[in-house]
Amino acid sequence: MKISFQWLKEYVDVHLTPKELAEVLTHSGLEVENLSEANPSFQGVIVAGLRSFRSHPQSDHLFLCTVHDGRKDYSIVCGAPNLKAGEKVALALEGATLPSGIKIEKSYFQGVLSEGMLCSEKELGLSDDAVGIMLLDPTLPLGSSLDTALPLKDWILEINVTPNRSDCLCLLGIAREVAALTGQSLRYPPERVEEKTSVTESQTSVKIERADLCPRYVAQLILGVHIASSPFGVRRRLAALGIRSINNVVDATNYVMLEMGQPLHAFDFDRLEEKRIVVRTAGPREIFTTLDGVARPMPEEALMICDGKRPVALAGIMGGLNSEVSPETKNILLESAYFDPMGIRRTSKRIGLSTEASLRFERGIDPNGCVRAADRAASLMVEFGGGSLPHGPVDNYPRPIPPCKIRLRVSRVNQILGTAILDQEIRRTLEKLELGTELKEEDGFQVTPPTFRVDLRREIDLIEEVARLHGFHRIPVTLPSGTLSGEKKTKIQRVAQQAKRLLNSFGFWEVINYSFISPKMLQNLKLPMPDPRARALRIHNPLNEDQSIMRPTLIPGLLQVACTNAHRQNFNLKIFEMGKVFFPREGQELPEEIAILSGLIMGLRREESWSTPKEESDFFDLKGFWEVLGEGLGIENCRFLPAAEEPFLHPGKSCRVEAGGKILGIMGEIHPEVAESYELKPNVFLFELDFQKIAEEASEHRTFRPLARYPAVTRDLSLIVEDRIAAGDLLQTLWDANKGLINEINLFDLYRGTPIPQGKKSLAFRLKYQGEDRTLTDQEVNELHQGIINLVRERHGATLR
Amino acid sequence: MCKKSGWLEILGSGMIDPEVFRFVGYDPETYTGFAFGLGVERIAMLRVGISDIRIFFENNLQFLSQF
Repeated sequence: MKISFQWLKEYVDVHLTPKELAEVLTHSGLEVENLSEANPSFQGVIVAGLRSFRSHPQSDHLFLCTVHDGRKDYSIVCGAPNLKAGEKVALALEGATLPSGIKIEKSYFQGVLSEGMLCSEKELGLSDDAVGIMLLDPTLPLGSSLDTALPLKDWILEINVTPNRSDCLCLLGIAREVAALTGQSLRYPPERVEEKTSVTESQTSVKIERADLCPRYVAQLILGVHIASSPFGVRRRLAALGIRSINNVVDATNYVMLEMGQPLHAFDFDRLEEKRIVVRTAGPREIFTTLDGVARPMPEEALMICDGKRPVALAGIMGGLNSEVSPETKNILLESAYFDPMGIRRTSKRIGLSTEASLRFERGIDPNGCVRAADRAASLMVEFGGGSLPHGPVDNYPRPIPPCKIRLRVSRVNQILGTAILDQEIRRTLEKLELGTELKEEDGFQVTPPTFRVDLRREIDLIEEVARLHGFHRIPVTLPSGTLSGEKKTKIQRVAQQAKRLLNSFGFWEVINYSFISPKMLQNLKLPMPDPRARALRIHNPLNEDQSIMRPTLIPGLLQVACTNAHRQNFNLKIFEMGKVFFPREGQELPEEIAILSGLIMGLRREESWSTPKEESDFFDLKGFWEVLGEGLGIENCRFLPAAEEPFLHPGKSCRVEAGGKILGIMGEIHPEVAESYELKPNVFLFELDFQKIAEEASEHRTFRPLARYPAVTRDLSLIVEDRIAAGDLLQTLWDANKGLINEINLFDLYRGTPIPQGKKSLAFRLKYQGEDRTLTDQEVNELHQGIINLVRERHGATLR
Repeated sequence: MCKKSGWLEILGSGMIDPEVFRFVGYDPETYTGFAFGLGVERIAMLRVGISDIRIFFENNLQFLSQF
């Protein structure tokens, strides 16, 4: 809400600079977001009096004027149509500068000297009015500088009024705050003097059919006005606050809305059929043309202001074209009403129309301010446009809004705020805000907030007022004291921390992705419908389609990161994410959440250098990282089972990871189609593992195994098996046969091609035989070795190479 | 984000509204409390000089490798 510093001073004395005032307001909860100076952009223009004028002898549209500044006379040539002797005018003499950049000099017009220029508002940069010269308020002193006489120098404060402070959407509200904060008194605008010519009640009536939507309707008549433009001061104040000037009557309604916060509407009384008001809701399929010229279908329950026959305004939002004030209007019916905030909000949202008026009704206006505002606006209309005010107004108040009474305990104030404010000070503070305070026997007051404070309903609201005015910066600073319980991290937290450290040390970067993803990302993974991940949880009100489902897997996020990095020429990547994925639960609102660890590697194993060969990452790197990670987390009995059967992994190059008899997850090379949809080359490798299970299998405890004391015997074993036999299975068989006498088995070679027959492969193992309590004899080793050869032939059909 | 006023909001805090306590089953006459919240990204941005909050979620290696 913008306010003008000059205008504000009409209601409260301000002994602070605009900057100091902004500080004070901000600290009290009315944040001043912007403070700007409004300076006139002309120089050297003074107030002069037009003594007389006559036609220019050589020109039929110019006049020779004699003006005086209180000391001497000047001759000015002027072509304006509105010259009138005795008027005060804006005189720019030699040396003056105008906003357009023009510098005034003495010049000749058709042979006659003009010592200066009489200015229009437009030429002074004050408005768009260029029809004639600016005619000034007759009380302005002759010879004075125009910018101080008007006055034009002002500051505009842009205040961020929080939604609870509807009372501050007007100058009086802000002035009241300033008065309370600075110890000054508030000055209400003058009340009008009653004119008992006729009576409003005998000339019109108001019928309210929906008192729930319109608890109060005040109607005042203004008869015999002359529609014209408003005085300069009024137009300037409206413009400073961003309201366009229309005519004196409409301007008066806007002026009072800005001044008092009560939205008003002026109807052309003669265009109201049956000269009365009926407040009702819209009928079915009713179409109404608002005064912006747009014909709108009215939603159900939209409150309409009607005359005896048809709607004339959309209540609280915008007036109708059929009853608006025009230059020919002579009689006005002024509406000053209280509309139910929810009703206005509903209709405003349904129609998609929001105005300065509707905003104030939505936030809640003062039901006891309607009559005062109507009075004020009516007086201004008479002041600006003449006319008379019948004794009135008509005040229809079927649903009186009762005042609120709140009990406020002094002890509670100090308990909540941590202060030691005394009773009297609290009372003074509240009374400065016009809150009625009555003493109660024990500890406190009964407070009656005025009806313009819709935000004060409970004791805690009053405590906030005390804090605000006392000054939050004056509340003493202390620290809470007490014992804190020291909790250890849970096992899964400790394992997670360790896992992250290990992955970092392998060269992985941790990434964080959003939990909400787009359905397209799941489609790109080619998940078939029966897969639980394809039926991800949908969000009711997503911000946009790209964030409309809760992720059931971390893979799309990692692929997106790979894609983005590839676009930025980061082709070598090792990333992991530890996060939650979500699955909808049958019959339950909240989803199942599973902790997942996923990773992606892409590109070269390490950055190129002269001392190491350039190697591309491959599937076995992934396996290797997992094996070391598993070891680091104390996970034993890790196995890799072939064929993960994930639609987003390459069918021949993937596997399942198992530990402690549970499947932890999958890893493999990306499916070429998926790689393409993410604009990646196929050298991308992924893993996704259930971290809850990893944490369960992890052991933080290590037991020492005594060291071998007897020498070992190493034997190699080269086996030929069919391609489809997994090396892991062979390895398992070798371990099964070890009888406690094999210490290590390493697979060190894999070979396909001649002389190995097609469809078969050669696997070479290095076995380390070692006894715990003796050196093994050759015979023993040979027997063992033969036993192993027999077993692998039996189980896997393996032959010796 | 910058209103050019020389000030930047980094956290909000206050006393918990008694209605909130009632809602979760605490008696506001027995308990009072305070709460505050700040955006860790914003604090990090101020401390280290990062210009755009979206950088945290892009996961660009050039950013990750700096920290």
